Amino acid sequence: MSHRDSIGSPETIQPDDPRLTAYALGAMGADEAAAFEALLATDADARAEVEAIRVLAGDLEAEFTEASAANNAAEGLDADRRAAVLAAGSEAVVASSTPPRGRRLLLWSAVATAASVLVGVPILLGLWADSEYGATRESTQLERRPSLIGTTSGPAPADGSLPAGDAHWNDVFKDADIAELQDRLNAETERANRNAVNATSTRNEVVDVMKGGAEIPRKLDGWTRLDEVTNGVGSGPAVPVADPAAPVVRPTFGQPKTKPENTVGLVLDGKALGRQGLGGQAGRMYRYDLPGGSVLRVEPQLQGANGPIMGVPVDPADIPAGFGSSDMYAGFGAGGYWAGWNARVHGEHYVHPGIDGFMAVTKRGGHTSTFSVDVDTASYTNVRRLLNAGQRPHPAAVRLEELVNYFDYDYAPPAADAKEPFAQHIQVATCPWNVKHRLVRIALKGKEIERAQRPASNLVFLVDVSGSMKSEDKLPLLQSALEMLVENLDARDRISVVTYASSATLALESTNGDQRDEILAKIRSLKAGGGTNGAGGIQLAYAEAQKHFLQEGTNRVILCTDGDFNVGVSDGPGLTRLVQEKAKGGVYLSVLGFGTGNLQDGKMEAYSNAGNGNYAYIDGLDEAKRVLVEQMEGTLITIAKDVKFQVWFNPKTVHAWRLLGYENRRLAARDFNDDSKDAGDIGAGHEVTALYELVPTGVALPDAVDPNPFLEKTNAPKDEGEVKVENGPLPRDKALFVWRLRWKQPDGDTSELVERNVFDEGLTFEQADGDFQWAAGVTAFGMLLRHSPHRGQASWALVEELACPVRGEDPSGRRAEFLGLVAKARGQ
Amino acid sequence: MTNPSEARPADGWIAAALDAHERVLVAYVRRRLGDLETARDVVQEAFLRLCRTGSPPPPDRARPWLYRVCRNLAIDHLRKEGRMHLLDETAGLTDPATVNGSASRLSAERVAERAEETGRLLSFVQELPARQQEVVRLRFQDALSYREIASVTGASVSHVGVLLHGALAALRRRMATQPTPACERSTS
Repeated sequence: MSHRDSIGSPETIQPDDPRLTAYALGAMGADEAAAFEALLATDADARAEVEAIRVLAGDLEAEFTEASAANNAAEGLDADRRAAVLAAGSEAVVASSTPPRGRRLLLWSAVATAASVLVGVPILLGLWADSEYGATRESTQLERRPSLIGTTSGPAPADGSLPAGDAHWNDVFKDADIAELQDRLNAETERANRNAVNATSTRNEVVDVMKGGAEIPRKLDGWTRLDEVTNGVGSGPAVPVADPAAPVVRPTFGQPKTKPENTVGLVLDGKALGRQGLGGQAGRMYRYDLPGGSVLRVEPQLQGANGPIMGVPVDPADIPAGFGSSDMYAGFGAGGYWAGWNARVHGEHYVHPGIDGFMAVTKRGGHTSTFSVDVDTASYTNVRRLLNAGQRPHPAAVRLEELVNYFDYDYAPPAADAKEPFAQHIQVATCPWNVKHRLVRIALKGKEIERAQRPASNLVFLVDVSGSMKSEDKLPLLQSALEMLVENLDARDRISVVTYASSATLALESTNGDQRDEILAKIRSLKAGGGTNGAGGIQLAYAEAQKHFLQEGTNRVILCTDGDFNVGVSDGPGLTRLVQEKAKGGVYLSVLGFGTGNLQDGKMEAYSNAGNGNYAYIDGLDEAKRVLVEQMEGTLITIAKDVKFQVWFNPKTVHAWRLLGYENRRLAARDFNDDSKDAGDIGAGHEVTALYELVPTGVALPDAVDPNPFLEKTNAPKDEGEVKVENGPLPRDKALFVWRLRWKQPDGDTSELVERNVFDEGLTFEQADGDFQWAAGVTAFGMLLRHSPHRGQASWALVEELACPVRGEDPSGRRAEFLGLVAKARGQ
Repeated sequence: MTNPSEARPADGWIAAALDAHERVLVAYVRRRLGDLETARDVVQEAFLRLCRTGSPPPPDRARPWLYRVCRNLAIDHLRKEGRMHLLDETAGLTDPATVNGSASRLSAERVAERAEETGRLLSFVQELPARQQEVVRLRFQDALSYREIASVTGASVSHVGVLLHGALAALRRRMATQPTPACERSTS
């Protein structure tokens, strides 16, 4: 863009003018170079720029030369191949009157013709037309030649006006064309551009929708800052929010049942987005009053956030279900303070799981923490995709526990004669991002089940084959993934495939796992096309699963989609209920997410949670292999179901605590003993890691203000009078907490209880095991990406410092890859 | 080695082309595919195709033509192997056409190893988007002209200029901020 500008106004040279590089590299023709020199003469900055480019170019050439010398890059063809070429050369001379064209050329001419419509013209014009950078480095004289493409669609350009040899050469060039590839590239570039435009226009549309005849200023004149209005209002407990440096909106809430003042449901783009809140993050909320009502504007001051979000407030009752329980409002719950909002980033929908603060043990609801385990890892893959693409993930896309649980740890499996099918690994050590705090790691390792011993599987793949699944990273990737899975099935297993696009089809009737050829043929024949209107797709899949139900085996529907989960039952509670019902009947749902750009992240996770399933985001063959094959035991065999954690803190040793991650898996304390409440499952070989950050007694909260001199009890950590331990034995005096776990046998209905006192042995961070340290590093990374106000001393450098020494053997390369991501995030 | 005197005089140009280009081409393809023998297969096939044209190319065309054929054959090879899938995940930002795009997926370890061998600058080159990386390599590693790069990659000459300029600017920024080396610094 500015390139053109600079051509239009030749007086100034912008730093992004490519002529700078062309000139510095001596790639300009003599005339153009002279003209450019004249410009340079008056522009010292540009001259410095040219000099810098020359230096860099020299360095690059030197390093490349050195590198190729080091790699012994001087290898040519071996003698045999060389001889074959020379022999072919002799024959070709003899046969040169009939060059070998025929079928192949016809094929290519079709491609070339298509290319001429799409991209061929610029390519070949670029080839033959004189460019602005006239001379090549070798100062070879190129003749100006007419473009052949576009005028020829037949096989050979028998154009008498050109010397025969050259016509032939142009033809050969076409032969080697990469039209198809170029086409794809262009399409992708276009798509990227379109997305960028969409993001802007979506916001603009919102403003238009809201206008209703009135002008709404896009700048802040005329907006009322709500934090000024609402701050200090409300009688709820003080909110523990840290980050004093940032202009934080401190959310203030009324009693838990009243509507919090500065979170609000918004309608954006015709869709209710749920509630928008600032949740303790730096940011501001504004109101603009119109005769008919108010427009609200949320401006999270997050790096990389999607700019202000504006919308019309809706009543909470109007918010459609289907956002799941994670579609949070700000408030207090058993899990501490949390608040959240939904964010829409380039069409991808994330539900922000909220930001949790420290919960004082003496506060109401603060003496215990209850949550359901979760071994999902989709958030990590998604974060990886975005960072690799040069983007910072939206904070809402980062779920700490999914980052931590992505990695393999060295936890020992349970002893063969152990009572429970999992081993516990609990450790307490110094918290690296706040040395006054203690970090607690609670981990479970499910017992391994040998492949041969695994129960039979009845798998129904419910595959989205709508048009949007066409791209390489969706259906074709899924097909490759399924092929890998099929290799690991055997005669005891059953697999069927239900597809949905414009309608739902049973593409592959339930087939025994050893009929590989038949299954593979069906999988390979799947094609994407058509709308997303598969009424009954999910029922068909469940019916198929039911029909071949394995009493002794695993029965699972695996939904594979790029996000538009429109399978016949209207979205929301109906679907969640269906999924839950089927899970009770023994058919579980897992969700595999594919592709980018339309990811309904929160929704997919909510559905898989409802169906006792996993949710994984598949971003490449590696990940497909990891999820479907390596983890086949884990993904498919449940060894314990409805696994819940509960921690009772000892007010004598713990002042405050926070759970890192698991925001959307938190449970009310009373749900722990309620066997009718669902929770997450653990599969064979699965590892589950959860971290707590504890503030010991005697240590003030990071954001504590001076105690109000009129109120003696403010900030008094040791007031045990307020704590009532109703449920369970009193922890021993010295213990940090009592950890309890409930789980059911895969086919059981009654839970079993595990209980244990956990003491702080005063370990320093370095004394903790390597897995502990790695998990802490990953958590710090996640907090940085989330802009967590509780990140303390965490920095990119700290992440590397924590993670590097404990990288270990790393057979899968995942830890090395993580460090690469840290470097990327750091550089962005 | 075949004795050149056994060949007919007319194929002298093939031998000349081999002498002039086979080494750089093998290095070029090997960079993309990683494997020497596969790279040799590809380069051999490119020369066979050159033979099939039956007449010597104009002197300034042989090099870009050979690069281009090698590039396309390498891409075909990757496609057949299915490795292209892996590159697609950064749709729109990474050129799925080039294996160099996998630089963005290179493990930190490999990036670091490379850095040790060849210096920081080249490890930064590996972090460039595939399109930029390709033109940088063709320019500085293979010493191709703008025009030749254009005909090899199918971009216009002015687009090559833009890509190259953008790449150098990115490299300079990267050198200025010096962020990368993660682990090896502290552990080695």
